[in-house]
Amino acid sequence: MTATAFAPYAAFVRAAFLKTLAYRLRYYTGVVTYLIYVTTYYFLWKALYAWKEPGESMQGFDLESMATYIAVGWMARSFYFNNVDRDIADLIREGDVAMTLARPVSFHGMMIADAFGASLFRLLCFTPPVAIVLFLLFPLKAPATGWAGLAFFVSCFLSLLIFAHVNLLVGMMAFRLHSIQGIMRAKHYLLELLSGLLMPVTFFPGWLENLSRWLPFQDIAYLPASLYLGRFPDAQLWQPLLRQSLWVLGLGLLAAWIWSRESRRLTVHGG
Amino acid sequence: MGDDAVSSPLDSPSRPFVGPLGTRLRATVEVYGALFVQMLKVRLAYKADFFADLAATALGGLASLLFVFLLFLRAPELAGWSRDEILLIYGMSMISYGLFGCISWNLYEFGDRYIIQGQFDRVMLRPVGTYAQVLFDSFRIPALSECLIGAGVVAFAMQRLELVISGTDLFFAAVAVTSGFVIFTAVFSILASLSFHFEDRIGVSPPVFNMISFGRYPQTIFPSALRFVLRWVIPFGFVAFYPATGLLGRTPYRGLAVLSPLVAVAFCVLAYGFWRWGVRRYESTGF
Amino acid sequence: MTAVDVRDLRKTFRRFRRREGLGGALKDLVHRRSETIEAVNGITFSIEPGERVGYIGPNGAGKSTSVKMLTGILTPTSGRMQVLGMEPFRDRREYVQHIGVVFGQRTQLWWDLAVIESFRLLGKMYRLEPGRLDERLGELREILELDEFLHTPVRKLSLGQRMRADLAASLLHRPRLLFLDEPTIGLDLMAKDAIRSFLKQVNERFGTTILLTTHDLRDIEALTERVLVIDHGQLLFDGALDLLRGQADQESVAVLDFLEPPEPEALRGVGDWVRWTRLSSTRFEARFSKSDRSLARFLGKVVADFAVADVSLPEPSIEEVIRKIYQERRPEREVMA
Repeated sequence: MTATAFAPYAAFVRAAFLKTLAYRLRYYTGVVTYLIYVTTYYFLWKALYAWKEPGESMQGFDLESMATYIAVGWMARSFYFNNVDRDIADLIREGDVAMTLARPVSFHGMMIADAFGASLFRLLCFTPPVAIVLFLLFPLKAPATGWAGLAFFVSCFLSLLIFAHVNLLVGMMAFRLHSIQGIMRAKHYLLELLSGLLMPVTFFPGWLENLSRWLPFQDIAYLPASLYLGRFPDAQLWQPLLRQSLWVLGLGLLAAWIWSRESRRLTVHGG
Repeated sequence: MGDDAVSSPLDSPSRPFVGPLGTRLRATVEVYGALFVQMLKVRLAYKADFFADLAATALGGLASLLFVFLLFLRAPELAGWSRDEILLIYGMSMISYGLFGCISWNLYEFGDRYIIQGQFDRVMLRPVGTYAQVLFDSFRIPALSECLIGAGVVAFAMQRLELVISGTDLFFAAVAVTSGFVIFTAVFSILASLSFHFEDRIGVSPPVFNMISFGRYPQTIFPSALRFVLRWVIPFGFVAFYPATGLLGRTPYRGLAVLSPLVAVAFCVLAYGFWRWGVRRYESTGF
Repeated sequence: MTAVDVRDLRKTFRRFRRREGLGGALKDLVHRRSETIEAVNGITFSIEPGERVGYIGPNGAGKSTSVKMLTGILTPTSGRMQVLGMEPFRDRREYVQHIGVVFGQRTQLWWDLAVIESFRLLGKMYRLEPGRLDERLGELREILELDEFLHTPVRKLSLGQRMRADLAASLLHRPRLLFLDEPTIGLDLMAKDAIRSFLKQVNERFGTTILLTTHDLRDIEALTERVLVIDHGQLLFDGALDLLRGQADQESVAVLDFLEPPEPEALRGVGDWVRWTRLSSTRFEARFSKSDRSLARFLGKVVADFAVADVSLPEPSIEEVIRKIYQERRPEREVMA
């Protein structure tokens, strides 16, 4: 593809960036929201470790690593989070999908570009204050090594793509269902848990941990935070990144396939 | 045809929503009872969707509950609180939250739906109190599944804890759960009133919404400043925790355990003041 | 009793101004600039019961703001306002039982409910006896042809159907005063006509006072006897439609078709009091100020000097009339589009 082929997507990225910036109050309250998330889970874990000796670990995490794991996980989320599912559901419900079909750009690409633009904004303006506040308030560790930090950074971008695609798939359920509010809520809670945002997947019971290996969810939160904490030796950092990339590819193909099927159905039968 | 079109307003036959509170209340209940039935009918017209929504909402509730079970897979207690004690708190909070989600969810989306999209104009044009209209304008019926799960969890916890529950205790629990629902509603009413002022879509509601989870765990695990906030500023501690300590007979908070209804009433008064202030400040979109 | 009595009504808003581009957006994050807008800047008028009044002006002129104050949605910043003997915002609950409001742009019905269910809920809100609701519906259903969509959810209605449903909803409680904001917007010509004649009928049968804002001047021509023109928050004109026309009628306009293209020189020879505009090679427009015998003088001279195929004397359209008022009173400002 040439640079001009990407130009419309760059425009979407820019538009999303500006749109996010326009809501000033939400920007400030957003920082507070993340602070509240981390505070809740920090004190919860602290209380849970109360019966252990200081420095003793559970499932491979001592309290300090656990605090860092939680904080870094939410920090990453402050970057990769988006509402692609709700946006698509709205488009479908209001019948605007047919209109987007008329545009000379791929719908799939447009939604991902939108998510990407919003995340770029978050990376520049939102995640830094969240990170600063968290590092000031909680005793957190630095990245295990320079390479681990770099891998964490790259990994967050892949998390963004996986997260956006999961949302894309959920949102497209609105093609078939009258309301997907409940489904979006269920996804929200399941994802918080299965992605490892609330607890490392090593805390899952055996069967769930095994199941998670075959699902893309732990790649969203557990993998980046684990990279940060140096749970993978420097020489093997490429492995989790490759795993994430494969999931991006797989979910991307799945989304494209479903989209083409559903949108064809839409043009044949009408909205 | 009738000629009441030119009669003076004073001898108008229909003045139901003006006048004594009792009449107003009855009229309000009648209108919104009818609306609730209509909404239910609309939702049931798409049966598959309705049950998918119901199941998904229940699944979401169960997933959040699963987290508590997983925590206790690796630790015997949480700062002196057993799993079943926490489940009791969690379950009570879920019931209140489910009621809030079904009845008062509109308040959370108020800024977006009513201020930005301009629906508040319509509210102002009807001869019914503005607050009742906003509160009861839509019902999210699937959210009630959260109540059911919550009730199940409470029953499970009580059984495991071998609590001897008297009639008074049950009454106390019912009052507590209702107070919890009222506290949620009052807090989000205050935040909704603020969106008359802030022209942002959802205003300051999301961070406070996330504070709901603070109320689902023993307040003793939080530092004292945060505990203070959760008692007197955003009183989510009173939603489930303090009343639950009463049921559990745990001593340190005996006094606070019975305060929930009073806190709920106090916050309602506050919310009423904020709402009136907000409506006066309403600036409809466009001019 | 006067239906509407408005004295020196004002409304000011504070608005935040967004800065342009990326840098501007980032600056807005730290500090926003606000400005005060005088949306309604001291207007005074009164309306008698049973009148049909058109309320017109360009976008942002203050039309909606004043209608929103009149309907009790907004509080005035200052001024006096008595409508049906009440103060709209203060006496809101009582007051709105005597008015009907229709916004062309958005429905007041419940989106997901069938039309008839919306009517029933409104009947409950306005405390109509079920029998009375049916009676009123009976009156309306035929003229508004409600039967075809009475059991359809509002979100599935066409624009014209929705407007008819909204009109019916606003009349169920038999209001004495009806506010209409762009009631024909987006409708086709047939539907527009139907709505106009319906409104006229309501006014004549029930003595309902009607205040109508619109961009479609044919609404005004078909419906109203009196026009209020507002711009920049101020009332520019208040009077009969004919008077409004007459006010701009200071100038005569004639369109002439010549048999062959005339010489510009020759046209100028008619007199320096005539302004010519070339419409095509043989069609020209002439304008000159209206005075006693100017038209006769003009026609006499033209017919004598040229081979004229046709002459027409177009009535000025209201658009033109209003444009002229704006130009006269506020020459420095932008003219209505």
